[in-house]
Amino acid sequence: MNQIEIIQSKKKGGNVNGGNSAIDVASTQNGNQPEYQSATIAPLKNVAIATKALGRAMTRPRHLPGMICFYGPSGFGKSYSAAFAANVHNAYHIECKSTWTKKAILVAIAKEMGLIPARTMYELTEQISERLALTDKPLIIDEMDHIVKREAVEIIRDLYEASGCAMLLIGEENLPNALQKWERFHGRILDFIAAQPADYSDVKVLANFYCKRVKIAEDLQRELARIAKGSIRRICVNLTRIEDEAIEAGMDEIDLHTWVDVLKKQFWTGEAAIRKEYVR
Amino acid sequence: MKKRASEVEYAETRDYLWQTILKQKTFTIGSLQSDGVKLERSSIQQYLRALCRAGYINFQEQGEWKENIYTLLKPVSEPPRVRPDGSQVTQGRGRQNMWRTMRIRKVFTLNDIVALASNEEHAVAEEEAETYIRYLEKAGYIKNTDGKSRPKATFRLIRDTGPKAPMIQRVRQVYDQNLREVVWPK
Repeated sequence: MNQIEIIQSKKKGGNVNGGNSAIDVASTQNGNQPEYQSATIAPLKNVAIATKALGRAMTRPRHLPGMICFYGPSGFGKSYSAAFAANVHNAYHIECKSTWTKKAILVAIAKEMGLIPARTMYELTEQISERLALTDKPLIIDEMDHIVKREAVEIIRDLYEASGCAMLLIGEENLPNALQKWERFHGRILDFIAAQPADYSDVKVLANFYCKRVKIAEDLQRELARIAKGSIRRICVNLTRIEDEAIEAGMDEIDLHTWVDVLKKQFWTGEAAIRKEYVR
Repeated sequence: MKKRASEVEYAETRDYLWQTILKQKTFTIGSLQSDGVKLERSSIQQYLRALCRAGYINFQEQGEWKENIYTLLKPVSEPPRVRPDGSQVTQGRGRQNMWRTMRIRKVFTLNDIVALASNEEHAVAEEEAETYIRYLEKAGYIKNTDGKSRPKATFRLIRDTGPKAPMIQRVRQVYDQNLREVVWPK
């Protein structure tokens, strides 16, 4: 219970701080408390990277390119980070599907903006760029790989050229390589940023959200970080599992020894049957 | 018959006015009025005055008996929600963030929503998220996929009506701003 109160009071503290950047808040250590607890997941490595990069693209001087390419292997929490960044920057967000045609991409963007999609691709492009140019809102495009495979990259470039809006393009590890094929596109990218694997510091932040009612000892957190192999998804699933099991066993604190030898539990590593809630 | 609350009509007035302002760019109160929409001069004036104070538009007086000419300064896509003194209304931002998070993640837990929708500017409390999820489940937007109780359950978004967040109104009904109708209770 006590822990929840701390989080709540921290939340209020975070509000007062206002628009401080994620890193500033994370590095402010409070002397009274032994361990810092963040009110948001902003200190997570990939979340901080994606949010800051998009912010940088939004506030760039107009002569600089405004697209950011965020790439990395699946499971590193790219989409997860994008969701957070979308909320911070009030962004438009679309996730491409493998079946989407060029027109489907444009219609999806128009719908996401709350527009009634026009009939032809030409009109759609006009309609979307006008809206993008009018607003300061950035556009986040997830699963960019599908657009590359469809050879529809030029569509995105058209939108960018006509509006100059900041864009965050998210894709798999080879996205920067794939984009190299379109030289004119490649030149519009401000930054290529690689998603980082999750580690112990990320486990600590996530524990405040996914395992609030049980205190996890440092050795168990470190072990969790090790078996997660960089995956945010695995950390979240395991934290929830640890909390469930510990509460069931009547504990409000748990360490590695208790987990492995007393409760005889195992971590979820994704090698067994994948639980459907974490399949995207 | 579709039920309507006055709150809703106000939101639609704002929507209509702002869309028209974006189109016209330079305008007068008269030019915002149109045959199809019945709007009082005084209510238009009220919104315009708030927009001026907030710096979204400004105006030039044309002298007695002539209408002021307004010009658009900050073209943002969403109709600004401002109080009469020009300060921003932040109510509803939390729900907007939660709804956006659900649309992006598609499959999510209560913890996911709280973690992703909270940021330095706007924190979402767990109770707030739980209430919102409860109403959305009732209204058929999301579905509990593993049958666990709410705090632990995994939800899936099954009805994505558009970018605007469904509103829970004071009269305990869910209003969809995309469809412009009350979706719960039916």
